Amino acid sequence: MRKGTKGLLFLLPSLIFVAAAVGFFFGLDPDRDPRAIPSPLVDHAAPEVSLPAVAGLGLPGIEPEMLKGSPVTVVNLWASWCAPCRIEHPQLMKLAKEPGVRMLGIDYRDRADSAVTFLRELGNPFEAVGFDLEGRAGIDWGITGVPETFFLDSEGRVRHRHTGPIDADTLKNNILPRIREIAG
Amino acid sequence: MIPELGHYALVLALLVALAQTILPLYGAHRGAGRLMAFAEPAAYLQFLLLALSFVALVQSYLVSDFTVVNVAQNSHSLKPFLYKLAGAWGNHEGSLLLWVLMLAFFGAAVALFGSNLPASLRARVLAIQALIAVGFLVFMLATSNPFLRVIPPPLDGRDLNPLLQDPGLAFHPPLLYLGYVGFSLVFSFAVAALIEGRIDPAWARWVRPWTLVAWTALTAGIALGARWAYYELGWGGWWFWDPVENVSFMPWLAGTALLHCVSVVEKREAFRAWTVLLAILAFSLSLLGTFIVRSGLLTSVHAFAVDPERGVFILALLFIAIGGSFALYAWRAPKLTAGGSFNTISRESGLLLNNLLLSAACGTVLVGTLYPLFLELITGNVVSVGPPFYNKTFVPLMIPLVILMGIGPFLPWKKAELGKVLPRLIWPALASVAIGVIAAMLLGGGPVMAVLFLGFAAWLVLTSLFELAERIRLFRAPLGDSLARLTGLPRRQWGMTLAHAGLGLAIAGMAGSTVWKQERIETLQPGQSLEIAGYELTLEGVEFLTGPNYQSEQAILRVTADGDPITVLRPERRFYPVQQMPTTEAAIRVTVGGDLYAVLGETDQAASEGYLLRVYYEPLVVWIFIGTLVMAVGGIISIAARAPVRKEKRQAHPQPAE
Repeated sequence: MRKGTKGLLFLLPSLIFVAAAVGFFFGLDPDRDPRAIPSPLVDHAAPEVSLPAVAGLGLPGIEPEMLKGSPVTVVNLWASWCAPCRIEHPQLMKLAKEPGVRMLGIDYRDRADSAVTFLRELGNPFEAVGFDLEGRAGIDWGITGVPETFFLDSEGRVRHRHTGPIDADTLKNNILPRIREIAG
Repeated sequence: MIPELGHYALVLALLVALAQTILPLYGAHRGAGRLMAFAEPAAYLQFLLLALSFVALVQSYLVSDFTVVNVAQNSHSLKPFLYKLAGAWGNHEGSLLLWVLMLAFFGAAVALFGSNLPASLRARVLAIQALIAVGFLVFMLATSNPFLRVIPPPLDGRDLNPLLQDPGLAFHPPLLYLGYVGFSLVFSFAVAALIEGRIDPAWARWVRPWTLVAWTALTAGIALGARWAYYELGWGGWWFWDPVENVSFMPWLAGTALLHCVSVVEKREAFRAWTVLLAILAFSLSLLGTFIVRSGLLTSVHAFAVDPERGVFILALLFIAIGGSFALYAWRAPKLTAGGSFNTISRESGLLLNNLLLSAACGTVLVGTLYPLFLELITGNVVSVGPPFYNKTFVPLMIPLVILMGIGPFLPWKKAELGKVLPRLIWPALASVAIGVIAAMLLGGGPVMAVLFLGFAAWLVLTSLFELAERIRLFRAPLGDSLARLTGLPRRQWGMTLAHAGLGLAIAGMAGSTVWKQERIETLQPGQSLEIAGYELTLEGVEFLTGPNYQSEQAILRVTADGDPITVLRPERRFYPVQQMPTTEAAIRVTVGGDLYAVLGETDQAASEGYLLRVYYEPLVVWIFIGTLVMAVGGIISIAARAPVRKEKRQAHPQPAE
């Protein structure tokens, strides 16, 4: 190996680290709250995607017209392999009891049998669950990861988005007031 | 008064650390012995001051002094004693104090045991160690002071997150930090060696035991964390590839690689530049972990309170520590000459391959952890990375690694002949295949991959035992002779045998509990029962109990097998009123064959509809914890191993002539 190339090889860790550090710095931007990223979808129509039902669940899949009509439609993206989704689940169960709220689920990159077990185990808050094996709907909705939740008005426009698990505090102080606002 | 003393000790410790950095470094540069000698008393003093500060914080927790913000936010007067004590490090500020205390502890240990180190190397190691402490102490005093007061004090505290109210909290974080911070000393040795421009077997003999201390503590810490997640989170898993789990696993992988190549430097003086890089990497990854956990960069179940200002501060520390040491590396490492030569097939090349595989594995975990962040920053697109990613990238890398782990110990240094080594491995290989197939049949068949991994588990245990048997010439020499050899074996040999065999046992547990796990979820009325894995569980009833700071419902499950009573399981659902949070306490019957694991589920509906019960059967899962324990014991035995004494030294004390 020539001397110059060898020197470059020893410099490599520094270069990689500097690149990573620059990334971290922008990642720390206080406007970038990893839990509340403004969605490009906010105040736009929700993506019109049909998703098949989850095999063995006994609930319908998702059709575009389901996103309209109810005063508030909640679309929750989850997966059985996602640990925070389990933590969030009791809040979804509470949310499902709110009047005028239609709960739709999108099972993201999951196995159907585990998804069925997950809902049987923790309770089912959803009217319909779409099965998104390839993560296509995930791309259409522009999610950062699971769990993630969208709140739609009666015309099917996205009015609010929550990234990461919803905890009891957020539900009470943030989500429920929003829902009342959306329902008008 | 006590909190002020703690605060004051913290400020003094910063000043001492500052002096401990500057004076010895300058002294070593100038060759001034008295300035260099300042490092040792300073290291002791810094440790004493931080210990005082830590005791002050613990005292504030024990007496529930709610005028201290940190105590008010994380404790409660009704909390049991153990959690008042452990609560001192169950939060961001307190855990940082524990961090710097350990940093100073390792510094003091070098001052105490390092009298045979060259004076300039010792001074530089202590100075770098103090420099790291300076960074963290400034960070603490500026953004995360645990001793801030609040006037007027609240009537009572906000209590500790109930998920953390577990005996695990008393041991898991301290062990984990002992591992992370242990790598700081290895880092200091690496940076000091780069400044000196010299790495020799003596350096490696010093670095090896400290690497082992860190590695052992990290092994035990990660295993304890997995065990904790297993029984506390209540869904029977032990590893979730969560970012916070990943950041503890990466230093472990780098540290394991380091452990193996340090011995090459020690024995053959090869791989020097690579060893130094790994020593820097192991600690850099620990720091990166601290940064990710505490800055809120990635969302995780474990994350501490998020504060962007803190994040920028830690990033600056990271930049100085990691960036600085990498730059030093780029400048000085090319001068480290390559050492002894070796053949394509030899112990050295085996260890090289081991290092490549471990580094690649560490790289995949790093990519999986950071990929979502960088993709979002560059393209705005967003993805999530879960177990499917790791099953496709990390797990396949483990296959060649595990095979190699069985062969490696049989390879001699410098030059090996496969024709001589492989025939010795035929019996372990055949036996492993047989054991894999038989075990899979007993567990009820399964995917090829799972059978393969059971075979690998057997392979690791068997090759370790075979290697041991060869060393003591079992069945080749008289039995008494073999026994004498066994007791005379070097401790390092025992360390390696136990660590490799322990990993084998752990792999059996991982494969068993992942692939053959069974679960039943049923709603039962009292008197009804369900069946799983040959056991019958009958719900006798549900009792309401009151704990010190929670209320709970406890189900009584009578377990029988073929009509014979086995045990009674009592899973609980607790509710902690202060934090308004429910937790589940699983009831587990542990056996070597598999665990019976019962959880009382959410009972939102009226009790007349019955109780939701989740029951798992997790085959072999206990072997994960036994195996990792065996690995840690191997580490402990090996720490105290004396470096092989050089022949010249032995001859230095000639026997008197007869």
